[in-house]
Amino acid sequence: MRTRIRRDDVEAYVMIAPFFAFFTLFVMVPIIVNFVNSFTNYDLGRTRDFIGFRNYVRLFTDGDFLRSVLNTLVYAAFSVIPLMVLGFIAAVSVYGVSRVLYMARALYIFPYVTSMVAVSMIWLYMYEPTTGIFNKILVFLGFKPLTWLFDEGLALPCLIIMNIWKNIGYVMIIYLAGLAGIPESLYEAGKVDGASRFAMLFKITVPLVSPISFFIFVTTCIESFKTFEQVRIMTGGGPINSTTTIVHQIYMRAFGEYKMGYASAMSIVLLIIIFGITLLNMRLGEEREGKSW
Amino acid sequence: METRLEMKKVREGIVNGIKIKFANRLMSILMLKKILSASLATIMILAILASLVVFSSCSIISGSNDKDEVTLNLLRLGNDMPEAEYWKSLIKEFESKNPGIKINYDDAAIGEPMETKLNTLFAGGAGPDIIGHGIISVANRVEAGHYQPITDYFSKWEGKDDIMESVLANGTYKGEVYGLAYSTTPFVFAYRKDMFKEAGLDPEKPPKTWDELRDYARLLTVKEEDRITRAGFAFPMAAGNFVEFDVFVFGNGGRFVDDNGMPTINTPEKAEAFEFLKSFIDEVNIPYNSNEVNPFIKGNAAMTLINNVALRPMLEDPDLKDKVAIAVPPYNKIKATFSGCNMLFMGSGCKYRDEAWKFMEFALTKEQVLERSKSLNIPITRKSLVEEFAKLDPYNSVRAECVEVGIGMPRTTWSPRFQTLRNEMVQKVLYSKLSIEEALNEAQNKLMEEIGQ
Repeated sequence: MRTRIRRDDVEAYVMIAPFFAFFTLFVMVPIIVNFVNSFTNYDLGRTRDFIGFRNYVRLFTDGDFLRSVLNTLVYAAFSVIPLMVLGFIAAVSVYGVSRVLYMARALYIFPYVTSMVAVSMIWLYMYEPTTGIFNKILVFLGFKPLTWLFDEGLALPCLIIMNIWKNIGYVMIIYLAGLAGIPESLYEAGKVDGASRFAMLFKITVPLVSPISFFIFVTTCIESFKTFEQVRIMTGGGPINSTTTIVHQIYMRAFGEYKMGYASAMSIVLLIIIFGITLLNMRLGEEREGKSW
Repeated sequence: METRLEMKKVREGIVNGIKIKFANRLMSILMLKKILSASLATIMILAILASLVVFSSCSIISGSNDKDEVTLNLLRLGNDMPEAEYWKSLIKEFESKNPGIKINYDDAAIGEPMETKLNTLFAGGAGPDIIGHGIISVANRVEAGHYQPITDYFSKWEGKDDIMESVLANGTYKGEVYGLAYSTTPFVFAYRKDMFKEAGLDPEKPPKTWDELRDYARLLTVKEEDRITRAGFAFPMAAGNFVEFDVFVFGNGGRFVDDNGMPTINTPEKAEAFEFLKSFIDEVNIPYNSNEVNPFIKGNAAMTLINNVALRPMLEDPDLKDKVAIAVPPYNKIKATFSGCNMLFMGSGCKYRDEAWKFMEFALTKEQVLERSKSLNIPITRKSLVEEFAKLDPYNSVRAECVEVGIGMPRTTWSPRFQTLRNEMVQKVLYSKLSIEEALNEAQNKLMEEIGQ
């Protein structure tokens, strides 16, 4: 029996080995190397001196980095909640069995499966002040045209709106999976008790998809903190750093200015932020589950 | 009783049957697991072997000598098709004339893609033997140990006295020659002749001074109520690299670096350039960023400052024949413009220096310089070809003049940081976020702090 277990163990290890090999090589090792680099002034060349916490201290006085943290937080806050609400509404509205609903689902999914680079280019043209469709609509409706991505106050909201539009399909598909898992008998019981559709939505559907909501909250939060492509393509972080994000700053410092040590410190801070948010979410999730179940 | 016994036998038979089936299923699952495990283990071993092969091939990437053939790797800045085709044909010609040398060609898009690719190659110990890169790379990559000096080869080169001084200076650092220019990309002043005629301006007389530029821009701007539908003068407002601002600074006699290699951002020349731009740009401009197409290319602007190469498709468009012209940018004190410069460098890991130099020498012969001008409209880099170049295209004399008065990025280790800070500074002034004086001082102080660190 003991031999049997050992053989099973070996088989199990072999089965999970490819994942761990990949995870170690491409996630753990880079994180460790990055952590070490964050205490150096590594510049991709010959310089790699240990400078202690100087990079970390400097981060707290670096206006560009602090602005990027603020922008990232705003971006995440104004992306995640609307995404969850609109994604849920989309899922509820296309849940069911019919060709029209399948087509509607596909329409929601299209932006999500399209590359962010392609989407960014398309929205860049739509936001264009002279020939863009948004200004044409505004002028047609009798409003003054806007400069969208060239307006310091509008540029970040423009990126947030595009992000919501693009990722609504992802949230919808996850919620659809959650909706499919709710037993039909609960709705039948609700009907028998004379509950309205709204009552059933808020008393049955919403509480039962809460684990799904928690999953979506965590994943969209992490994704928001990793925002980069659309910033790089549509605004380059401007105007005047109004759209620069943490990852954009990391990229600029690392590949634009070769300051790998400093960029490594930034990425460690990002790692800590994401880890902290995930931990907080999990704690809250556990407490919530403990109370409701 | 018999019936009971029969029933018992039947039951036992069923149970045995189930047991056998279960055992068989278990066996088949175990077999499947074994097969799966074996497959995964094989895949892993193959993956490890494959990575070993890749790593071992990487280690010989930088220059290899297979029997009597030397292989060199070339990485060029820019991935535009016409230039890539040109380099491939040049390599073919070189290889046919030098049977023992093989050149592997590769390229990367301008900006971060090139930097990322090059950094990754050097970090992996597989830096290219020959690198085609710009001015901004010189100081940083020399200090990082990525380039090696070619002064010894240059001093014996037949073309050493023929190369334009301004062009040679771009590849020289701390008294050593590291790079030799194969192409220059000056910013030219482009304007629409047809729009000049419409506005009652002489299409053969583009603005020469700042005041003329402002007046012409106002005349050429088309508005629908408050909305500018055609820019009189297109100037970038966000993202990208604001070398267009440098053109005004240089034209006002300013520089960003002094003789000691220190930054000179907060000087009167820059303040005046800002004051000039602020005096009219909001009235005449359609904002754009460098990731977008310049409104001039889209036909939405009458004048702009633009990279000579980026303008080429427009000049070659038959529909725009005789409608687009170029000139030296308008200036205030000194005729000057920004000019990028791409050079050939020798990688620090290059083992076959003689062969690499042979290729560089071949790419810089008069014939090849002229060929690049003919096929790619690239301004020449050798003094003896000025006249011949001018005859090739009516605008070549303008291009040559722009190269001659062209000034590049500062060749310092702080150039990349300067670029970021300059871009921020220009935006802060154009968006009235800071006063001109505050923005200039802020950029200067930040850069000094960086250098101090």
